[in-house]
Amino acid sequence: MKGLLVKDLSILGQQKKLGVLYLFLAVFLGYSMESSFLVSYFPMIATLLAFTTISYDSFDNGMAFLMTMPGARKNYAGEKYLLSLIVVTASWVFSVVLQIASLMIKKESFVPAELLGQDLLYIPMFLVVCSLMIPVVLKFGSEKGRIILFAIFGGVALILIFGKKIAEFMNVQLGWDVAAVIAGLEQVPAVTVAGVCGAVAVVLLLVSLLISNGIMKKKEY
Amino acid sequence: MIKIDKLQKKYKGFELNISMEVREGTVTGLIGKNGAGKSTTIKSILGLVRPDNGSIEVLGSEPGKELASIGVALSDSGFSMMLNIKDVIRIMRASYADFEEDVFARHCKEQNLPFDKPVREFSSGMKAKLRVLAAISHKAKLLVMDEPTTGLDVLARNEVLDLLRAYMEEDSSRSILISSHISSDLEGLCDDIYMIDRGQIVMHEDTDTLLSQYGILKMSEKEFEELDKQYVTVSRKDRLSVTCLTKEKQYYIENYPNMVVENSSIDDIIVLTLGGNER
Repeated sequence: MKGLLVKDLSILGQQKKLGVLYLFLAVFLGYSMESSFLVSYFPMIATLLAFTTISYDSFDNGMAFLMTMPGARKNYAGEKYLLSLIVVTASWVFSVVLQIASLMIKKESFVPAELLGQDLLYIPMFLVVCSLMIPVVLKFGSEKGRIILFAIFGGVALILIFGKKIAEFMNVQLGWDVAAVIAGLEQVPAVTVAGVCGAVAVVLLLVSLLISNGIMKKKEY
Repeated sequence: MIKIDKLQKKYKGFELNISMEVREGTVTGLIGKNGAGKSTTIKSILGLVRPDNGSIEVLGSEPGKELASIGVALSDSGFSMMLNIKDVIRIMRASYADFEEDVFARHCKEQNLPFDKPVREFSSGMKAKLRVLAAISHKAKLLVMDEPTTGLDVLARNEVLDLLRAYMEEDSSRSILISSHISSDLEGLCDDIYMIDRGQIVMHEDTDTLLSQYGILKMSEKEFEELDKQYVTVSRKDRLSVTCLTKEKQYYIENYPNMVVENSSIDDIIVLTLGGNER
């Protein structure tokens, strides 16, 4: 596991120039856009960079050699989750610091506990993305994996677009007052919502890890 | 060290069906044409592919279990192209308890491998050297090498073969399984050789026997008809003559004093065995 992690951190380290570019973009966008943008931007970039390590491993048939290193087959999937967790958390901390700095420079007022509660919601969100993405990329490869993931997100987008109609259907046909439910949810403190979402994300992550380990066990190179 | 018993692996249009052994303290060669089954055999030993039938024992365990004690160099796969040798050192240090960092770094310097350049900027020869140097850097009991000298010029090839000889001299209990299409590499290095063709082992012999007892007989078709063929392994008819491979060169030297009997190289044996007609 340690060797795999060192390899991936070395690969990410080789992309320093790209990181600097993203940082400049973040400073520019962070200044011109809403401060919460930063907290979604950096972990998203970091998550995508973590996924690129799977592409680099597969490039030039590299997986065959990698799987001859001790413990690699058993730990490969687990290490990708650990890497994702590390980069999401590190980039989130970095983003929150940048966000607070940006708010202070712009002299905008904020309640630290409220801000942190809202920001915390992004961590489970990216962990859910990892839970979906890692097994798909391991099973189908980076190219096909990306297409499948676009299809999944497309499906989610469609549900959101047609959400209103679904809510109406629930209201009329099932007698559920969706608006009241949403209003009720808004009363729940952000930290509690983040906690519940976190718990759901952890369960999803564990299920995803089990599936990924199963995929790696069956793979041939 | 390695024991393969009736290994079967089926792909569309290809079936591997072999038994072989790599003994302690020996260098065993695996030769054959492209697509003969060399890489599938090696991948099965390393646990990269799963056999459909049969058994494989590697260092007393099933494939893929004792990887810390196996040094691996594959012809078509290695470290990520993004990494440089400094990264490789960090990865090896984290992966192998017995990694000899100083020895590896010294070998890399001796072979003029740049430490800061990413592997993607290496020539194919440099990549091949890096694969071999990494494989011999962690006191492995067994080396499994698939075409390790591919892409190397004659001098570099000899340097790599010297490294492998030195690796064997350090500890007499070590073993190497090496596949190569360059037969001169195998002649000078291997104790025994397996020849594989269309997924089957077609010959297994000690290298000394191959080089001392095997021979090439050259004759006319008429002489061939009258020849005692009990020691002829394979023959090949050309337009005007017949060439035979024998495992008992001395028999024909003594009994057919006028016949052309030549020493056979491993290349000759490959060409006749894989391209000739049986007796």
